[in-house]
Amino acid sequence: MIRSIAKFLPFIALLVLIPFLLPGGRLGSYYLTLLILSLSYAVAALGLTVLLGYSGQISLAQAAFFGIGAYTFSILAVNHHVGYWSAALAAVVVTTGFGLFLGAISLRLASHYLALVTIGFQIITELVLNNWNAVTDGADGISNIPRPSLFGYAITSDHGFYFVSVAVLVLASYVVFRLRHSRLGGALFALREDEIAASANGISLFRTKVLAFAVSAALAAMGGILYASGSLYISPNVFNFYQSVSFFAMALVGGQASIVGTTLGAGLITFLPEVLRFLHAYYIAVYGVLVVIVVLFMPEGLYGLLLRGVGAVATLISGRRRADEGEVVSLEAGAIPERPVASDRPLLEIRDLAKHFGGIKAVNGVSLTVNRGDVAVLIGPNGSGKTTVLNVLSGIYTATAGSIVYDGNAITNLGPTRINRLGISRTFQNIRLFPELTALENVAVGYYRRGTVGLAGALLSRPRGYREEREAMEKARETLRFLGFARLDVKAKNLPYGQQRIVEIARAIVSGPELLLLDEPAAGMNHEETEMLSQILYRIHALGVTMLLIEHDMSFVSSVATRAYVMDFGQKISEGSVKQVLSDPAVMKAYLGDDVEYA
Amino acid sequence: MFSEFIQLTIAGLAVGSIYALIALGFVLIYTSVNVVNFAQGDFAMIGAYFMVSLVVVLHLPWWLALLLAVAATGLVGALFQLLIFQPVRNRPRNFLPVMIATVGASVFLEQAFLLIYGPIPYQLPPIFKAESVAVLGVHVYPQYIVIIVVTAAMVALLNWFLERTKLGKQLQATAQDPDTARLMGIRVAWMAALTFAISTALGGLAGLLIAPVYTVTATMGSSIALKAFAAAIVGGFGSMKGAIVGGLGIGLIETYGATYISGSYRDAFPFIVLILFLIFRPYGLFGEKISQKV
Amino acid sequence: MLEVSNIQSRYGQVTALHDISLEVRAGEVVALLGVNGAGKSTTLKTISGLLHPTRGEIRFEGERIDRMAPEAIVRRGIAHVPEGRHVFPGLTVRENLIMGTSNRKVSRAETERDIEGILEIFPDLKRLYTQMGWSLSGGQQQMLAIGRGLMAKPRLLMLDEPSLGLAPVIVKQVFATIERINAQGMTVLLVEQNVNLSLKVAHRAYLLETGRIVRADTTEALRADEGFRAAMLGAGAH
Repeated sequence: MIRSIAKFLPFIALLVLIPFLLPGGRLGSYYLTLLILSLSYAVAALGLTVLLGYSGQISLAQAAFFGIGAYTFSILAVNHHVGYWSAALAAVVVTTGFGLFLGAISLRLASHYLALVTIGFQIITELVLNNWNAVTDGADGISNIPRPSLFGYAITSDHGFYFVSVAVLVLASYVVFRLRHSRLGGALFALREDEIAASANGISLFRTKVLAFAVSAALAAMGGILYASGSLYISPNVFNFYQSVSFFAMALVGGQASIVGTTLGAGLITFLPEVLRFLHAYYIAVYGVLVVIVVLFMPEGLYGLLLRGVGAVATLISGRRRADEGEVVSLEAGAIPERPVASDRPLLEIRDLAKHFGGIKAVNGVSLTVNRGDVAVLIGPNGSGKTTVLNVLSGIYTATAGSIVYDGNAITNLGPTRINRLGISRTFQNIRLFPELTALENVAVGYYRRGTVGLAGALLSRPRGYREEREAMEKARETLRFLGFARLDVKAKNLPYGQQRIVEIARAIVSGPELLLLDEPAAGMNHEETEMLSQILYRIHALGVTMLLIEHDMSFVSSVATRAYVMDFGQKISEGSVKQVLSDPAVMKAYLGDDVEYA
Repeated sequence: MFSEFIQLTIAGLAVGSIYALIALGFVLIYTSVNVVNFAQGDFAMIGAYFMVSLVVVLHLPWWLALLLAVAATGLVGALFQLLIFQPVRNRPRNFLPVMIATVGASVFLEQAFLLIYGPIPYQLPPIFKAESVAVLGVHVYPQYIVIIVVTAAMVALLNWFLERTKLGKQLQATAQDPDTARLMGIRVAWMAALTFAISTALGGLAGLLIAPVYTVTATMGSSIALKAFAAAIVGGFGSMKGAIVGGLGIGLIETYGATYISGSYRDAFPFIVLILFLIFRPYGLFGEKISQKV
Repeated sequence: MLEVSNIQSRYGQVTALHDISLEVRAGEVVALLGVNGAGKSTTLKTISGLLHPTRGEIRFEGERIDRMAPEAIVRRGIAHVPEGRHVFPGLTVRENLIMGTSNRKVSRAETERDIEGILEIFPDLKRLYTQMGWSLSGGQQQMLAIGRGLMAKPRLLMLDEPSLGLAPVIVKQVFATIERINAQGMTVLLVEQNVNLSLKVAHRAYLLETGRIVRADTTEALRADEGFRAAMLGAGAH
């Protein structure tokens, strides 16, 4: 942690030194003004780092929040003579309120649509700023905006205010940095990578999205206040749609999820017109083309490219290779751990469950009971409705009819987050890991439901926040080790298929669920991997976890399951021990097809 | 009183037709390649400038100029697609970069035409020289009638193309399921280019139709496009019917509002409608909420 | 007719096919069998050009097609009816069928004749002619998808899980249809989970396991092999 913070020191030092490196005279003070502006932009763009880079939500309204912050502050400080810091605080609060509002709307919208809605918000804000003359002074704007005093010293010079801005930027960076490494940061990343998997791991999509918008709006407001105070004058045309696009460009150029990158991006975009000035009339056109080229052809941003270049050079010099496949999964084979005997106390009872999609009856009246300590398996041909049962059970689909009782409580249609929090966790047929997170981070997200520290806790109460982060990481490490998995710091997307399965199982069990749902855990695994998987499931079973799995591989099923249910055409056609159901003629027929002539 | 109302309604429908044409362009591109083209309004500007060149400079008859200008705008649109969308079409999560790129392209287009045509606005003569014509006994500006009639014809033509021709169906098939369309042998890349050509041609048509009412400047497209965008959301982004109804509705509300409520808030009315929709019906009039499949 | 030699295919980082070699001769029905995730569908996608192999080559009637786009491959005479049917939901049955002819230039009269031919094979579609794709039942969609594939006038028809999620009666109809179009001269490459029916309709079969071919034989031999059926039911056991 300390070392990752130390990484920022050179940049802070650079920011502090810049004013002393500027040329003197008018040019120097002009550059200083631009620097102050780019710092205010950087703070607002950091909001996008959180919103876009971390949580993957698209917003083209950052300039609107920037403007709401700037205007609220200026109206209070200039027209109503409110003190500097009170006005600033009020501005942040008001803007955050709007952020909450937009975040709340966002839940109902898919990501593309969200972008459209944020543009709508941006446009409306512009119009209100322009036309609500009584409050905003309309197109004339507001002038004579004050600068702060600190410890009794009024900061009026550009130099002084520059350092105040640097301090605010450092503070904002710290907030973003802390957020990234907190429990909530993990939730944001999970949201970006896969909403369904996130909610199946106990992360509330609503709260997380609203949080991302609120933080982003608060940072935009801080930037807006700096802007107003820095330039001493504001008018509506600063806070238009194109400024929102500029903020976006800053975040994209810098690499969406990088604090330093975004700051550099803000500087670059602000100074680019200066650099292009030699092009005279053509410079705006060239600027447009540059934006196109950067966003289309440099997906990691300029900063990302720079880092990669530096990394490549460093590797060349040191001759060090990247960590290779290395040791992978190792479970000492041999003794099968003692497995609990299934009790006759039901943990999960499904009654007459039905799920119809339009005219297609995917599940049509299925009842089954899983007792505590069972490893129940649901088998049946492709398309027989097994996965749909699991999806209804875990709250991803709502049931058309029927009821689900878990541990004595009705949980029908509760929603994935609530169901996960009750102690039911799951894996997915098509593996839904968070691809850009490491194996360890993926598993730590699974521990989310055990955490309690919220935003304030993560940012302020250091000991508890840290403790919780450490605990989640420690548990994740422990769980992966328990499953014999050692490649903790490899990104999930770079793991081979079989190992992704194991990481996904680890993510599902790290929070200590009572019931584990596994959707075709052995699919696509070779013989040895399947062997290993049986060992893993024995171990998990030995911990006392009840399981319900879907599987096609019958030899695997025979080795792990204590009870089997067979589905075909959305209905249960057989149940009993694995041996019993496999010799049931109805099951043979469902699997291999009829032996009668068809023509 | 009544005659004023008729006048306003016709003016509102005319402005609304312009919004509808541009909104249709937004929707066509969005449904086929899942990208919002923020340069859509600039194609209205391009169409208007082309019309200026053909009518004011080359003195072509207006119907020929109209056809040429619309076709040329569509060609620019296809080229635009080739440069902006084609290179990254297979990259996952390309929605955002492409969308931002279209904003960059919009900046470029506006500046480029500003440099070519200069900062002085052009005035395009109306298609019929008459000061007014009588409709239902009410005198109205003839260009409004031209706008409404041409738009209606265009919508009918578009509908015929999409519903009655094999190419139109291939366009729809590609939007519904691109991979399967490829398995059928449909050239998906061509379909995308064609979609952009049609959408931008609609934009160009909107621009040259409204040009006699306003003046032709490099930035004339952007404010029209924002309202058309609002119209598309109100109608339900992704629905062509929604784009037309939304466009006409926004046009009417703006015109009535400016006269009966407040002229200085003329530009605000479309967005007040928009914000009401965002709060109470974010998927618009005809939009459908599509949930993610597991 | 079709020769697939040592192909490897991957989705991103995941290698789905390790080493697949197979051939289909004119007039045959060849089945690809194996459990979920064995790579059957991936094999078809690689042949039809939706995926490009990272190694190996594919030849169709002597011509290399493994670098071609799907549009180009269907023009050469391979139609792929994808898993899950993928009828165009917003087009009518008739329009879906017409989309099948997108791989070639056809006159209106010829299109109508071809549609007549398809409706003879699938008389049920006649009554659904103007209904939208989404409103059809699974079995009707499957008929439509196969019919749409046939509209391309392919020389090789690839069917991916045509029985998926269909009622037994319908499954039988689908297989009877496969047998019939084969009798009329169509070469078919079939991916199926219904082992018994596949063994009945196909001449030869390949068994896939985790992206490799583990067995290739005539269907008579496989039918006679008691151990094989047991292996398919207890899939994965050796």
